[in-house]
Amino acid sequence: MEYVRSIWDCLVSICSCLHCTEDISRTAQTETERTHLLANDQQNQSPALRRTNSDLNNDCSQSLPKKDDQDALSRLVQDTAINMINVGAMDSHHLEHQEYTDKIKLYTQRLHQQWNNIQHPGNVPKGLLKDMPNHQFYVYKPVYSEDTSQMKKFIGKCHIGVTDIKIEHKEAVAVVVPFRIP
Amino acid sequence: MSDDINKYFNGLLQKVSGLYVIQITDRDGVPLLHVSQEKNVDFALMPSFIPTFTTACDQAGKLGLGRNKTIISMYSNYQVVQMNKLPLILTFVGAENCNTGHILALEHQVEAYLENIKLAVTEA
Repeated sequence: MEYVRSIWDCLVSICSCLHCTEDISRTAQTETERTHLLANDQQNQSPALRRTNSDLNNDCSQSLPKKDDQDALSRLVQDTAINMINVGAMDSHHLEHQEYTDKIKLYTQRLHQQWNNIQHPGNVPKGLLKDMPNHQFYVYKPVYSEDTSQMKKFIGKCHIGVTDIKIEHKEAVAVVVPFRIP
Repeated sequence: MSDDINKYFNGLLQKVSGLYVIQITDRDGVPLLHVSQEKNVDFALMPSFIPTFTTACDQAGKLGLGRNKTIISMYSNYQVVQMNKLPLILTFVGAENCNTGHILALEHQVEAYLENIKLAVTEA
């Protein structure tokens, strides 16, 4: 009788979730919205489902002779567990304090080992000639006096041109700015 | 090198006005990297808060909205942006008036590091 009730509960759950039932083989292979983010799927099941599952296993060990039926039933139960929205699973993912601190130590140790291999994006060379592949070749080349004098002449002409720029007022500008008038 | 990483993430923190915390954890909420300004926002960094995000993502996907990768929680004084970068979870905590778009834009600037940090988790 207990077994029949368990089956009935299971079928009711399945019927309520029929609209969102998916092929279990496909969900197992690809990562979809039905795939659990947390590794331990057992904890994602509701306590009711876990109980039903364990009860079924206990009850069915004697009364179910066929292995195919058992597999089909467990597949249905698993399918239901995947499709059921389980708010109660929120509280089931707390780490023990000791495990938490152990993991922190482990991660810190591993990260220290890995930091040396990480290419820091901010370590891009900055400064003059940074984009030149063989800048030392050009740096060590002698600078000719003709080139220097040409650059000086060019800079002098630019300076004269800039100082010659004058602003001519063609229209009377009457801008009155009231400032601290009581 | 870890100083450089911390400096880089602190620089990201300064880039967004009103951003208090950047934290990278595994899916159980165990921190791998944490930079913060002096603000008391521990509620969002408690070990129970981050696993709730992963479960919420998991369960919310079944509502028919599809697989989401970011959850933004707005509170009266704070906002928490959590990104699913499995096996890592990226958590940003900022002021309620902090520009959420700027926080979301940090995702691309952090991604260069995530691949390497993931190795520390996947090897565990």
